[in-house]
Amino acid sequence: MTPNPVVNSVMLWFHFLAGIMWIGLLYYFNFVNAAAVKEATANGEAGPIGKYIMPRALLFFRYGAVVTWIMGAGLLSMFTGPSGMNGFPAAFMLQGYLAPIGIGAWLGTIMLVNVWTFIWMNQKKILGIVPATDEQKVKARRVAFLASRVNTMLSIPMLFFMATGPHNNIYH
Amino acid sequence: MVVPYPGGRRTKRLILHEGAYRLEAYPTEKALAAEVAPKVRHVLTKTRTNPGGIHVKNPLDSIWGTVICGFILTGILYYVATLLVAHSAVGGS
Repeated sequence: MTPNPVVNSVMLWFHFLAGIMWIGLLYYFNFVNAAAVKEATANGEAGPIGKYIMPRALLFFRYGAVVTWIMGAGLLSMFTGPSGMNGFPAAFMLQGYLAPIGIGAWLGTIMLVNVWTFIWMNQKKILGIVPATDEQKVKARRVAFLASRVNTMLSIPMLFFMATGPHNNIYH
Repeated sequence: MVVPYPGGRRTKRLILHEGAYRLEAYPTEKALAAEVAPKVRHVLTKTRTNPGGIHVKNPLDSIWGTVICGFILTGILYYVATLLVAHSAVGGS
C-alpha cells in the first residue's frame, strides 16, 4: 500500500510536534525540575513549583504522549508489512524491515503506559489532586521519580530507532 | 559503612526510614521535615544494602546513570534489531 504523501507528511509533522512536547517535558522533569525541586524543598520554597508549574506541565506531557502515539500508529498503519500484513501489527510483531521501527514503537508504547499509570497516578497524590496521607505521598514521589527515570532511559533507544528505523541499511 | 541486614531485626536503615516518615507526618515540624527527611532519604537511596551486606546503587537515582543505561540499552537493542533483520533476509520474508 502506497500512503498518500500529503496525509503521511501531515501525520509525521504532528508526530514530531507532539513528540517534542512529550520528550521535551520529560527531559525538563529529569534534567531540570528534579534537581530544582530538591534544592527548593531544602529552602522551603518548593510550593509554587507544585502549585503552578507541575499541573500545567503534566497536562501537556500526558496528552503530548497520547497524540504522539496515535500519530505514530497511524503512520505505521499506512504501510504494508513484509508478509502483506498491515504495517501497524507487522511492526509490533517485529517483522523483517519493520523490526527496528517496531522496537521503537514498543518502547514508545511502554513509555505511554508508564506516563498514564505510574507517573500520572502518583503525581495526582503528590500534587493533592487525589487525597493521600503523608506516607503515601512519600512513596508516590519515589515511584513517580523512578518511572520518570525509566522513561528517560527508554527514550534514548526509542529515539534511536525512530531516527534510524526508516533507514534500514544500517541494520545489514 | 556496611550495615548488616539480618532478617526480621530493626536495622539502622529501617529506623532511619521510619524516622523520616514520622517526621514528615508530624504536623508542627513541617519545616524541619522538609529540610531533614529528603536528606535522610537521599542518603538511604544512594547506598542501599542487600542481605549480603554489599552496597548497591540504583543507576536511575542519578541522571547520568540513567543516560548511560539508555546508551547501553540502545547498543543491546541495536544488536537484536540486526539479528531480526538478518533473520528475515535469510528467511526471504
